[in-house]
Amino acid sequence: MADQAEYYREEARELLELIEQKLIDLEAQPEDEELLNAIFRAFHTIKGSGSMFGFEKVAEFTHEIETLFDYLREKRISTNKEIIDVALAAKDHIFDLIFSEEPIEDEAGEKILERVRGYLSPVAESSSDTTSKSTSTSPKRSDKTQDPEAATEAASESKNERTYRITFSPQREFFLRGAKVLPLLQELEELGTLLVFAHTDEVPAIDSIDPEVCYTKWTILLTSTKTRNEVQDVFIFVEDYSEVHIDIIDDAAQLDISSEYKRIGEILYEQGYVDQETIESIMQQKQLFGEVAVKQGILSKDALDSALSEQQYVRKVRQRRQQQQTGTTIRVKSEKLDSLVDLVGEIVTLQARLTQYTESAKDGEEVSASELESVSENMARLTAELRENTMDIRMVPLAETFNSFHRLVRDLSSELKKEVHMETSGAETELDKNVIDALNDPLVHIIRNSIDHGIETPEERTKSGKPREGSVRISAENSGANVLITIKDDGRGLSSEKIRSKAIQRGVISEDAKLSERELFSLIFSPGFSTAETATSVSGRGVGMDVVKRNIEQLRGKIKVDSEKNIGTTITLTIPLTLSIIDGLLLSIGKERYVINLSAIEECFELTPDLFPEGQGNEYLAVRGEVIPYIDLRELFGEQSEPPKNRELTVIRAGESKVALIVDSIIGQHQTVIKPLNAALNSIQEVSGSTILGDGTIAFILDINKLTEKASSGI
Amino acid sequence: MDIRIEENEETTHISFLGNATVEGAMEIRDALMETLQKSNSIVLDAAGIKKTDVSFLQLLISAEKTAQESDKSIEIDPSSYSEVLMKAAVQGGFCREEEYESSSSMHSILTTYYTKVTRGAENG
Repeated sequence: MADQAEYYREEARELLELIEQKLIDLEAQPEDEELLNAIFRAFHTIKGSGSMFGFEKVAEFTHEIETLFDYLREKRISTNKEIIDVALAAKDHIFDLIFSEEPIEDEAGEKILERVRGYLSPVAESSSDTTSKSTSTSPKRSDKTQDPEAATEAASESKNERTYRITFSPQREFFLRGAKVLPLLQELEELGTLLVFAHTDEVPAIDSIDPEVCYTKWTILLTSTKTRNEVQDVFIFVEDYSEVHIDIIDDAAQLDISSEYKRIGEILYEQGYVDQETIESIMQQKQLFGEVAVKQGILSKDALDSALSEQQYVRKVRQRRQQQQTGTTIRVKSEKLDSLVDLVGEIVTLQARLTQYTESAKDGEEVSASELESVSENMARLTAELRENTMDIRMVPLAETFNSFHRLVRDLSSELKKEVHMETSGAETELDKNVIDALNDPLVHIIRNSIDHGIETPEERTKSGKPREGSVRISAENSGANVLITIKDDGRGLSSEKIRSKAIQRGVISEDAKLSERELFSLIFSPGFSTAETATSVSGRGVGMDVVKRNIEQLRGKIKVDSEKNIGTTITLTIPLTLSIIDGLLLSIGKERYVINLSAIEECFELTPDLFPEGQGNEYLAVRGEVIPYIDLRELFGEQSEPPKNRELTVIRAGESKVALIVDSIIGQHQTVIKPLNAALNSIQEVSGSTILGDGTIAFILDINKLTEKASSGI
Repeated sequence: MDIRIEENEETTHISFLGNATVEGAMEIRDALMETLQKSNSIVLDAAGIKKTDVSFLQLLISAEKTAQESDKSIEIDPSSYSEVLMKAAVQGGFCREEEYESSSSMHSILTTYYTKVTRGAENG
């Protein structure tokens, strides 16, 4: 039954997380009996429940791992790094067996079990106990092909995986040259998972076809950990009589919060099926892009099909990857739910009252304004409480996120031959679950960078008088309406000279530009910037920090970097507590409405001539003796209508900067539900979101940071 | 490659035996073309196919297009199981195990064959 399987999966997920944590602890304390027992029990439960709920393969596989830990806790064998490695690999495999929807190749599991048996056999007298089953499943036709889920199997590999779009157009004489298509596709299949489209619109009718000519073209989506060159190599012998284009359309190393992929128009444009003009003319008709294009004969149904499938395929790949990395349930204290239930009860009562008044009004009876007011006030109170309550439920401690990093640090240090240990503090700090999920990728990237580029090798470290083992400290603390997360390493620090020369080389700054150290450090957030000499598979491809910054900014957060040569680097993230509802101040400019986060407002008052210091053309106001830059929002947004006689202004603050915004009028407080902006509007920096007002119109939410930056840089 | 044509009252059966590849493509095309001229309903038997390639799949598509234009029917007999043909059709991207939201396929002759065979196999 579906429910039971779900239940098992949830339980298994927790147990597997526990196993991972404890295995890492075990490495530091190999003799600890409690740890061994806990791990044994966890595997035991996974095995037992597995057979109960129909996960036989899991049960079979886990059986042998359980035996391993049984031996360990009985001290028949002793713990060492290799055993921990194989146990971690086993844990990953069990995860795949449970959560991957496609059947997993037996090979991977067998390899692990062989290693396990290697530890068991010298010891076991009755080794006939460890039954090595050769479960052979008849391979499905084209088992691995055309399925994005299989691609994200190996958890460690999924980080390096990319999806390529390959368009393969053999020339007409392709067959006559003796070349064959199917073996090429077969080779590609061996590199990863494939989704193949044959485009046959040019195949003529039987009486005009030349059977020895190739009329078919292919669009192939390949998800693989192989490099672009390796993919290109597949076509090396047929290069001369075919056209091959390989584009990377999804990259696991490129952090992306959303699993959203390109729109159909974009995909078709990229593939050369439509040009810019055509796109625009189609966009004017408000129907589905693809349908219109096909109707107008601009596009074959075939091409549309393949674009649609590409969209879905990549979405699936991304979603799968995201889901793999984050569970989708949260634990909630039952008291929180109890108060939620109470609140709902009150709302129901209130609603009944409102219904009653409405009925009375319909019957012609009078409903007094004060009765309505009372309902309205109560409604406001209840919605506020409801909002707080549900926000609270979504608040989850960072502990889980931090814990998963232990494994990451361990694996990375091992891979890069460095010795690093990680410390955390403030794991009990809570954040909205959405925010935590979105933070995972950026944090992983930052940690990777620290270990890859920051922490030196043990030899280098001892030479410079540092302890062999490097450290990465992650801490979190509350600070007003934000949470501060710091990642601090004691590595070699950022080299401002290297950054400077790289920036000049990339054309990011001019040769004679004078920048402070802090400003130089911020250059690492420029796109394409990476001062690593060679890109390791881990980082250094230059796609990292700018995407990290963007992701943090999408959470309305900030990122800052500090560093000292040979001492280390500290990255600080400031993240607001919740994503979606803020207390805002509603303003108007002409007929348009805008919202500013109330917490950023310092003061509001009427705009009077005495606020302008002597001399026109200054961008400064004198407010009670303080000189503050100002921005006239009418000018900024190009408002053409007649301004009102008396205008108002509000002073906002972001960090240490203040700016005064001149508006038409300040309407008042407004509880604002933030809706993200459509991607098309992302280029408008000063606006960070939108909201729907009570009358159904839209108000834009102003980005405080951008406005203060703009004003203080004097643009 | 051996091509056997059997004309019945309502349908004509064409069986392919051996290698349905580019080397015999001319022959295959001629057989398909002539049969399409003479008959309104054609059933292809794939069971004897030992090897195949894209040229054959292309011919099937071509035949299907022609049939559709003149309101004739052509299909591959789902009871003539050919692992070789199925594999080539899927590998070559002419049909998929899972439909990704595409309603009509350009290659229905192969997709239909594939679907019918796999459904038949599932039902034992």
